[in-house]
Amino acid sequence: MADRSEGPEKTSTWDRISPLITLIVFVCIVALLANAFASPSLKRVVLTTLLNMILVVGFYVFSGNSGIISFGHIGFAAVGAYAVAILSVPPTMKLVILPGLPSAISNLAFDSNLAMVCGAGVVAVFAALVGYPIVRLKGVGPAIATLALLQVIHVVIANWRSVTGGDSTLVGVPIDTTLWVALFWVVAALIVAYAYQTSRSGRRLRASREDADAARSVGIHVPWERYKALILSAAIMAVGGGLYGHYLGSLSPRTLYLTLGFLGILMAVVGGINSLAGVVTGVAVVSAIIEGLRRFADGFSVGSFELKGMPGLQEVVLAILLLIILIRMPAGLTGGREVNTRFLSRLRGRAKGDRETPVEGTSDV
Amino acid sequence: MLTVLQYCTDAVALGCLFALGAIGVGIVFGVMRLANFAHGEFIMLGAYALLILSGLPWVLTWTLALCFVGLIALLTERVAFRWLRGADSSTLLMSSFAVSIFLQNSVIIAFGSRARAVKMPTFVNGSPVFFGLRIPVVSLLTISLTVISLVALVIFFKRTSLGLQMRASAEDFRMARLLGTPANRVVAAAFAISGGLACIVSILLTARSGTVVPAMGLTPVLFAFVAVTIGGLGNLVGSAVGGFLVGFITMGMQAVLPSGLSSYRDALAFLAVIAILVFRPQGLLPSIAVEERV
Repeated sequence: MADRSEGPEKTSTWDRISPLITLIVFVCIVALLANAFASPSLKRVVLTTLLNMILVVGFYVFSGNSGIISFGHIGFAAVGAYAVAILSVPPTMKLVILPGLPSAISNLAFDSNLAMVCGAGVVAVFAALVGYPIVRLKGVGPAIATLALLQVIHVVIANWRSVTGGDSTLVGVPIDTTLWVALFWVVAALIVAYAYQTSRSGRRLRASREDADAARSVGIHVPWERYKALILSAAIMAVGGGLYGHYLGSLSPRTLYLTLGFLGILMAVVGGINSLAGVVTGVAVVSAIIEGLRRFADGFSVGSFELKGMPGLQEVVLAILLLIILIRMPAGLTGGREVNTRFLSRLRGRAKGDRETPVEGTSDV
Repeated sequence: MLTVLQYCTDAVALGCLFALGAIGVGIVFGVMRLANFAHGEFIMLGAYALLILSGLPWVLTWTLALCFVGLIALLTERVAFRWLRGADSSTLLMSSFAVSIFLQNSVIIAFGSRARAVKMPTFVNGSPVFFGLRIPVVSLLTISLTVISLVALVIFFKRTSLGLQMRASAEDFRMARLLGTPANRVVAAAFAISGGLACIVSILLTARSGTVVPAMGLTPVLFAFVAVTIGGLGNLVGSAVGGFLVGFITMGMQAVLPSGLSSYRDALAFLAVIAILVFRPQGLLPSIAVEERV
């Protein structure tokens, strides 16, 4: 909160944005390597990882900055996915699969990227309408309320036949989420998330995460800050969901539901939910573990000996991992720190002496 | 008139089922502030215990299943939740998700994810007619088992020292500890009872459907959460009342709502939860000292 010009340490622009640049460079290198060397199946894994990263970054913008775990964030992605799909499915197709749709919507045929932006807008409005009561809750309230919100969304999607196709799968979504599209949106999400967390509002919210009462006592309107973060993060979730729809080519009410929601929370917590670097690390690490387990669980043959697949193994291992992290290192693998780029600064000859990084697990970038 | 009575008995039976689930969740929430999502998996494991033990005489099957689920509940407490005592509620809820995923997928590894038929004793399939009113044995069984469990619980809470200690811990865990309440025993007892109640729910659910499936615990536990929140978090009477209320209301909506809307019944139940949390966060029957003091 302190005015930067009065602070004892003036930080350069580079110091301020280098943690973000590092993350973007990391993600781009992974994507480029995958594009150059990976097999088609591994390429799909990297693409899914990038999509999950958008969802987890969206989740982080609210839950990471506010300290309130939302168990229903995937619901925003589901709403976004359907909104984007309905806007971008070709009108001729819509007449067949969603005959009950009002003609005004039915005639729309947006380009995928425009549909993403519109979907994000729709979900932001949706979050703005439902969000305020939820961010005011205390204790176990937000957890249960967000879970309830997810159920409401799920039931409505599964039953609103004329708009979502109901329980049956909504097919005909254009499949155009390529690696580059996903990479573009990941970078955009990272920039938005970082810009938010270093903004005035973001810092107020992070202060309230550390001590809500103290934050209130210095004049921070905690619910209001949470509300803004919720809307922003819901918009990012919507883009993630929309991209998922355009990646799979079809949507069902279970596509973006509890399983993926848990996975997102798990990734964030494993990496460290208090920092952007933490959630990016979490997505990368957990995705790598999942891919390893998938190869194992799908079964493989050694010579003439064939091992049968073992569905469920992946989830069991991830559940144990989550428990261990929650019990042993609740701040996650990164301890909630951002990337420390001081050594890079030193290489550039701009280090300002040897001041120690504060190690409170909650580094303020 | 008969239709109304018919609906009433169905509503009471459903309410009993929800009440049992809600008390199971509420009892653990009371002492640990843990909204135990894995309760659904306790229910599921009870049903699988019935599947494995289905060759034995039913009394034996049910008793063994009860003990099995109680033990599983104790085990989850010992292995997972004990280390997180005093953690904030989101961490606890996440850990219970982890336990839930672990248990559910362990069952998938062992039994596959398909539904399996369970042989229940033949008497549960009957539905005798009283004065023109058709009451399925399952409903009678539900009501009687609920009454027995509730009476047993009331006696336990009012007449035993462990019950008294549990009530004290639910009110103020730290104070109770300071006054010499053995924390581990109280928490363990809460989990054991919760597991036992979950197993009763699994017996009743399996008697209704005749099948078991690894994902069967989700709906009951979600509705238990609904009931616990509506009744008042951390208040057992509230949980029970909340359970009955949810049963009545869902049956009522089933009866009253036009067919186009009745599929949204569950959505309305969850909306009610959000509304309760917003407008009456202490629930309909508030427990003492829910407001955190600064």
